[in-house]
Amino acid sequence: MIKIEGLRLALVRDEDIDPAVPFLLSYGFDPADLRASLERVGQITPLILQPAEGRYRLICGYRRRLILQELGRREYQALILPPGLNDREALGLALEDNLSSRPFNAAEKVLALTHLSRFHPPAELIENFLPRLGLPPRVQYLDRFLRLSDLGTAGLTALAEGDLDPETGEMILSMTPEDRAAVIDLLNRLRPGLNKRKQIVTWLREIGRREDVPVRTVIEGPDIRAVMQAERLNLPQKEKAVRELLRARRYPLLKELEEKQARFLKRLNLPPKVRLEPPLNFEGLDFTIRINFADLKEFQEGLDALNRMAAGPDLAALVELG
Amino acid sequence: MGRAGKPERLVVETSLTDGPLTRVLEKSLPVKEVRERIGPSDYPDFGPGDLVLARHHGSFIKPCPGTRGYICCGLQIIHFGLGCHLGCTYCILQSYLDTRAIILFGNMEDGLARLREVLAQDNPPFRRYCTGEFTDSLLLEDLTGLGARLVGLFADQSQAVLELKTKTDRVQTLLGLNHGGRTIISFSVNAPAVARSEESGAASLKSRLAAAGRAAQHGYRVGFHFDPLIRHPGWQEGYQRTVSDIFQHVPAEAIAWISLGAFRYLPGLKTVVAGRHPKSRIMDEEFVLAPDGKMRYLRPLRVEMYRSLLTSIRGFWPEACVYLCMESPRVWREVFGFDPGPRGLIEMLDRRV
Repeated sequence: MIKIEGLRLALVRDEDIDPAVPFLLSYGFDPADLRASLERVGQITPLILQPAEGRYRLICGYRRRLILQELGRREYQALILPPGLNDREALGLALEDNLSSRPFNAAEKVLALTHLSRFHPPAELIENFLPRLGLPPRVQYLDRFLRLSDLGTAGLTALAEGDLDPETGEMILSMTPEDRAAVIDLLNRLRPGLNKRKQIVTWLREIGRREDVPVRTVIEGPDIRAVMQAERLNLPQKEKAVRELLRARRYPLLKELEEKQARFLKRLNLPPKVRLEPPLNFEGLDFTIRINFADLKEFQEGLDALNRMAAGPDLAALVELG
Repeated sequence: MGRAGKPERLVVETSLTDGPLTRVLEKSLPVKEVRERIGPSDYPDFGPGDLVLARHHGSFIKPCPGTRGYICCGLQIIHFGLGCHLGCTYCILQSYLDTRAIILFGNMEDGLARLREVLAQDNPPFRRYCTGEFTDSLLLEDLTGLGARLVGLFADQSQAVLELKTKTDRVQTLLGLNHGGRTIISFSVNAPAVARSEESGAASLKSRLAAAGRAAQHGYRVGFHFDPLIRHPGWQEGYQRTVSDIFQHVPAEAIAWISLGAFRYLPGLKTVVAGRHPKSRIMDEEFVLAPDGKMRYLRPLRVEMYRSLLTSIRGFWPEACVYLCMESPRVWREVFGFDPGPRGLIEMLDRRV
């Protein structure tokens, strides 16, 4: 617990506040509600400042100050902290002030943990601060969120706005900034769900490595561009089409075998109640045949279909394919 | 010697502090910690450089579990420890084990006593035993001497042979022993590029083959396991080169068998490899989920590799005993023109020794 004595209330001029914010905990926020409130009733909650080298450091109130500046205010109500408060305590205060008023988005969690890691050992961050930020108290979450600080402005903005989730963010960390930007842009335009997002990024990354090409050239290639520009496709259709393109490029042989298999299966021309199921991924040992029937006539029709199938060349070709 | 370093310190379970293995290891390594009890749930507490002596409460000898639908070679596993510090990028232990320490069963004498009992049974069926399933058979040979003791134990067996599987070159302590022809020293080998980039902690390929040559000179039969076969640029030439090198170092008649096993892995390994070995490209080929729950190269890719290796090996020695490790009957048929059936491979290997 941080014990603060000697707080005082003051009216502080904007030019007396250092523009550098030591513990920025706000990222990508929507200012509309706060702006409306400040316009309506003015500043109710004071900024929290700390004297430092003849000026003041802004500890809490970054958003309020920003909007008040935009509204033309040049003086703010402020609580002045005693000068002896150290950085670790000041950060603790800033964190509590922010967490008590709103949930953090993923980018803000990155900022908070990055600041906190300067003053607290990993075990303390995991045990005390991850749960406080709504994260599971496990080392991989700490590692992930600390690494995400390398995402850069575009990545953190995507995290803040929900276009990127932390797990996918971690996946694109190893990419160049240009590739990361292309991936974020693609995800932003396709809006896939979490699992599909991870799949898309995984395939993009692996295609880039397999073909030794930058990921952005895959995204900007003619196939994906055509899908993204196709007016006849709605968003879910585009997302599906992009995934199909990526899968076919990532697994060219598998795709070729699947297409062959589909052709042979179609040529068997089986009735709707007779199904032939090849082994999974051309790997398994057994083919499976299912016949559904409601009466003896349908049963006989199923058997006739099987006999026709056995006599033709396509079943042998399918079995050969595996 | 291989390039891998030795463990740096011991962690010992209290009940094992006076055990023979602890006494031997204490001569080489400082004791970092003594714990009242060390169970599998404690293993994640330990890290690289820790050699943990824990009491094993399970069976010391168990058959290779195999997998339904895939043909198994039927080895009996002598289970004396877990883990390896060679750091191969593809190592499946990375996804099986929750620790990067090496766990040795400090009550190994109980295991050896059990092995003696099993070997002394009346009219036992023929069995092939090995120690290299969950660790490398000779990884700690310089410290424990376990391999040498096992060689002595099997030397006069008529119904059992021992296979020591390694990626090291630590055969020196085995060379002067009376092995009675009942021990096969096997080396895991790979294409030169894979050995360099993915097995950087293991002995160099050249050292492994030189060790195989020395073992053969001392009357041991040797085995080679091309496992995992990994597709990479120039893989055909690379594997041909290793095959050629094998036959330059070891006379064909000293080779008991050569196995081929394409890279396969539990899906969880992919994340581990991405984290620990971000530059490795071993996961970039076309893998599919197989019925045994493992990711495998798409079947035609595996068959292509096996055929290439088989042709190369048979080019040097047409009678070579070559088999596939954990492959489906269908793949056997596509590679060899036949499948040996559920017992056929076991009988084929038994006959070889």
